[in-house]
Amino acid sequence: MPYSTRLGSLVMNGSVVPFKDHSFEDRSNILRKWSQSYVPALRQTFHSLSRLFLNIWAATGPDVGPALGFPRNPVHGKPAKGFDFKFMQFSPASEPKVLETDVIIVGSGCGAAVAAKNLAEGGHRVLTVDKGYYHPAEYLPMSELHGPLLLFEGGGSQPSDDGSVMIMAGSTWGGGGTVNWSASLQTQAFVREEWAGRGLNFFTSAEFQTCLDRVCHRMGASTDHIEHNHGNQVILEGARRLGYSAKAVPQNTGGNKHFCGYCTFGCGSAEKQGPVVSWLPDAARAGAQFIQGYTVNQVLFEDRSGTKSAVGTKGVWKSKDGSEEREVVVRAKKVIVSAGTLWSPVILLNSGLKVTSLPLCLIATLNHMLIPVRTLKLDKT
Amino acid sequence: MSAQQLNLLAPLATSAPDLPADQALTPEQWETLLAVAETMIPQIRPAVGTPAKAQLCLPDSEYQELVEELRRSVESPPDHSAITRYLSESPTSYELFGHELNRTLSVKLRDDARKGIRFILNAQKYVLSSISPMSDWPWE
Repeated sequence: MPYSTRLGSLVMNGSVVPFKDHSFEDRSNILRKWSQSYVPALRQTFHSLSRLFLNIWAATGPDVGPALGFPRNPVHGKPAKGFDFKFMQFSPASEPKVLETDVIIVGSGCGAAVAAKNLAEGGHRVLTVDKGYYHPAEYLPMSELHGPLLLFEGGGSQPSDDGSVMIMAGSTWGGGGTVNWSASLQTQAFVREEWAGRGLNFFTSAEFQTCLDRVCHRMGASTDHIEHNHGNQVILEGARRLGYSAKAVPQNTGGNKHFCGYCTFGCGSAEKQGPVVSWLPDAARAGAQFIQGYTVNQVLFEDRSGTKSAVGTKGVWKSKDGSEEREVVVRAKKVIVSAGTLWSPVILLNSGLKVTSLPLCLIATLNHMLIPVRTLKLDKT
Repeated sequence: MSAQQLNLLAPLATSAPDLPADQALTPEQWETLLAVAETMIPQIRPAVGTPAKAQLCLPDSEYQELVEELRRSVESPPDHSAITRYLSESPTSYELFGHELNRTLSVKLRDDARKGIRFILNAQKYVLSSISPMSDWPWE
């Protein structure tokens, strides 16, 4: 059906009344027809615009927070000072800055930060880099407007190609560990078995469980100190009445009670034991170095005795205020790519690796919040 | 509480990335889009005098009942004026909405989605009120 020709005919057939000049009642009726239209594009446009307007209004409307009883600043929790990371700075120049280290870790999130601590404390020279920037605890939690823009990929959310799913992924120093709701889940059995089934036997070993326990212990991950909000209580009680199994998710609050409710825009009390509070400061104390604002474009490879070996990275550093840029090349004995589910595959593909050679566990470690485009309403139990 | 004490409790201010220099839409498209926005999120007021185009006016008793219902639904109820300000707020009553909508349309939206919105806005600028709505047409 030549939909575009029909609409084009509408425009060309002339006008009677501009939309903006209709009464509120007529405007509402017109939009209601959009929402129920037989034309999929019109229905989708209605729903997309509705979501877009509500999201922007919720984040910017001066009277929304006060009416909802949602203050800008947390009522619970004591503001704290963030760790003083000493990031490397570079002066602008046309030739690349070349650095040398033992291990370069691309990423600063949950995986990267643990690696940084362990390797630095093991006596290696470690350089941890991230394309995101550090926002110390004094600047957290950020507002509903700035948080998505400064702490998340895509300015808040990243749509899948077909638009059916929106992914919220942290993009900041500390990665997803800076913006998560303190959730600290140990890898479930069926996931470990799937990985082992693809040749990664380590994940069903006792040694892996020991690793998980050490990580959780360092962060104080526990359900002991949780005080559930009303919504959680409804879910838990509803599950109980339905005979469903339901469990609380352990939180890495370091053994403290913490229920300020603002985690996703950063922890202003530095109580959430994420990468920037626990692992990366540990790494710093063990001599690790850091670069923020460094976008790694490629892992560099060299042929060594017939084997292709990773020898470093190439990318662009941009200062936090955006005024300076420099190409930076890092030569390293080992390269660890822990840039998150969205970016690790991109970096490796851009480095010339083929899809079949990518570690399969990259596909399984999707720890992001996936927002289906249609939402379900939770009824009262 | 003094200003200095307040600073100890509130996070330090952050700066959003610069707003795009260009507008994603033409002035006419903006007019239509903002008219749609203020219809979807209208000002809600008691029915006094002639309502403006973007106002949902309710009989006074209904309006007061709505205010009380909203107050009851919040754990620490705000005062009456906070609710009435909320109800009378709309996207066109403050500048920031338009700026951030432009940022989304210019930077965050994919090209095909942006073209789709422009097309719909151009087609919907005028509505033929003398014939049946488009959704009732026999689309093939």
